[in-house]
Amino acid sequence: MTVILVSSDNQDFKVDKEVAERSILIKNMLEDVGESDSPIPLPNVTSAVLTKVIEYCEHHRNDPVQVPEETDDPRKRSNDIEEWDMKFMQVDQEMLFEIILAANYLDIKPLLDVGCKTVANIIKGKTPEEIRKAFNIVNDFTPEEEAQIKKENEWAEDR
Amino acid sequence: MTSPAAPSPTLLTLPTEIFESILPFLRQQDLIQCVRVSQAWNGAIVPYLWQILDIRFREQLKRFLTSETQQALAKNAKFVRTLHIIGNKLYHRFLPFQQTLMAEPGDAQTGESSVGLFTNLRTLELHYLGHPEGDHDLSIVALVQQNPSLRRLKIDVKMDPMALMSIITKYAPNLHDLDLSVVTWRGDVKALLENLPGCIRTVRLRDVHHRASDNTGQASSVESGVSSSTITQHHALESFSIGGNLEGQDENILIPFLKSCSRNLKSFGGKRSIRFFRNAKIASALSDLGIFYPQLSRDSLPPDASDADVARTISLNPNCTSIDLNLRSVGPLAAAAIVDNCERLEVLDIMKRGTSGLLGSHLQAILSKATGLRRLRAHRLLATDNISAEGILSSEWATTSLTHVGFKINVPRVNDNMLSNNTDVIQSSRDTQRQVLRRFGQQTNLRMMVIGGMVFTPEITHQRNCLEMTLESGLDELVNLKDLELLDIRHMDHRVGVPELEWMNQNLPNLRQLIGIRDSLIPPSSEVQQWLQTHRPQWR
Repeated sequence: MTVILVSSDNQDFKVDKEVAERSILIKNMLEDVGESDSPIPLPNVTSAVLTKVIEYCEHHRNDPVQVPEETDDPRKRSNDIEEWDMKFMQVDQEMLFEIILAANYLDIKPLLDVGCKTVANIIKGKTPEEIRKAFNIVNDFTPEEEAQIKKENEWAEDR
Repeated sequence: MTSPAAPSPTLLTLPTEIFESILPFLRQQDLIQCVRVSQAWNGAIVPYLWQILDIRFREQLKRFLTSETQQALAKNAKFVRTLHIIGNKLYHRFLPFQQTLMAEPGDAQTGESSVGLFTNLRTLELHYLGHPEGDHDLSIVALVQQNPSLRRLKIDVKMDPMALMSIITKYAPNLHDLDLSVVTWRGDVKALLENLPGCIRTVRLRDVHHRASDNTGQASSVESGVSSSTITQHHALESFSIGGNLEGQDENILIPFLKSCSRNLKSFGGKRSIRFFRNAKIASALSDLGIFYPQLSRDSLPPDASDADVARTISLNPNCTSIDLNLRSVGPLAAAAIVDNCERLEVLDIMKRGTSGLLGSHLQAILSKATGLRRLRAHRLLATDNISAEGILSSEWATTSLTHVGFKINVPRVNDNMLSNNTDVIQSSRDTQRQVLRRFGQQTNLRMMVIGGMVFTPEITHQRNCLEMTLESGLDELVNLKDLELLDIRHMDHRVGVPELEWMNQNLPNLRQLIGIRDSLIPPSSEVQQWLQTHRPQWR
């Protein structure tokens, strides 16, 4: 069975139901509507982004459903991205954030995680100045303020 | 930044919730760089960075005790959800022993201490402080008072447990997890348990020593107003462990307590808790809650446990699904207990050679009673007491889900030299073997099958009465075992020839290991060797 997804710029995408249902948003919609051929409008996703998202869902169509673990420790690993996902995420920053936004809107947790890990990996190991450069951010601290903040939070360094 | 006409997202324009979901993937050392990037980043990341105050290393502690950090603490303590103090020095900085702290009840004054700053704690863990008894209690009182959101408390501070219960009842209505496993308590354990706050789900007491209060029988009432006549119900309690010494008052202390618990209690244990399960009255109170002694594993019994000990332990849990033993002796009593309690058994695994009380007839009984049996391995124990082919065929098997089998089956096999001319006897033996293999062939989940001989004496190079595993004797009955990964043909190998290998290669797609084809006492025949060389099957 296939469903038709309509991007914000009015392009139709015909995909297998199983693939579309990687998105919890769409899955719930289909469950609410029942058997229906009417296209599903996705006003927050452009065709360029939707193409990428569908590519991801096609590749991961048979993945087992993720069970969220309940732990007190919020810290997670970011160095466990699969090779295919890593290549998939080799896009410019604009597209990267578009994918993250779409994954959040469509409720595709594994894709959101991969996106967040990719951003985290850009940040990792960089100095504040390098981070600013990487994301085009203007430094609005005075040098004194920055030095103060450094001292205030230094304790958190591991050793 | 060149400003594009269409608003395209940047890291900063992402919704806060998405930006925050990136943070867990960053390490501490990255976060402390991030807070310096810009005002906006600082505002978003500082609360996250300060959520867990967990200072373990001397260097960290040194950095923490600087005046800059202390100023920052004043600003950021409200973000701290987990306060984990393991160093004496830090503890003193946070929680100095100050009488003034509690000048007015309920009105904790911070003074120079940092205690008053924390108001959103979910988790408070204080250990290895190494301070003298009785010290610091007031600081903890203040901390609990100010943090009604507290969910987990782990302390090794030796304050009076009754007073602690009173404070928790009064000020920590959300406490779920009370962990006193790092401290030794001496006092009235009965009263302690009676006054455990009703909201708690997990309690760990590792080393409590019961000392009855002065008016024995009368549980001492707690300042908070919890009266001794109304015992708190502990319906939220899910997990409870207790260790130490109850001074012979096990029943007196635990039975009323268990009566106050509900079937939410799923786990009851602690060091040497087996004694509670052996006490008939306590065991009965526990079984009313649906709690039985945990699964029997190799580690749960001392190696010198006697046959009677093992039998008694097995009988403690009629719902047991797994018995995994590595014992010198499963004697007749233990074997009988296993059979008596086998209906729910999924795993029976007894691996060590020894004097055996387990007989073929026991295995037969287990096979006919245990409907969920998956794993049945007892081959060493059956080295002297085999199960006969007739025995294994005498009753239907209750299970259809066997995945691992390991025991030896005796077949009335023909001694080639003596009776090779008696075709009737040969045929009858093969018929029996075919029936046995058909039984196994119906267990389509089988992954490991070891039903051959186990005798390694130099005189007997082939066990004369073990299955042949030839096509004539029913190897083809295994045709549906598509998951089979391991097959043991030791002591059958002189019979297994090229047609058998061809058959296995074609019909057992997942076979990885064929034990005995190469490492046998007798080298394989030249035809077999040649076949192995030309076909190079995937099995080893």
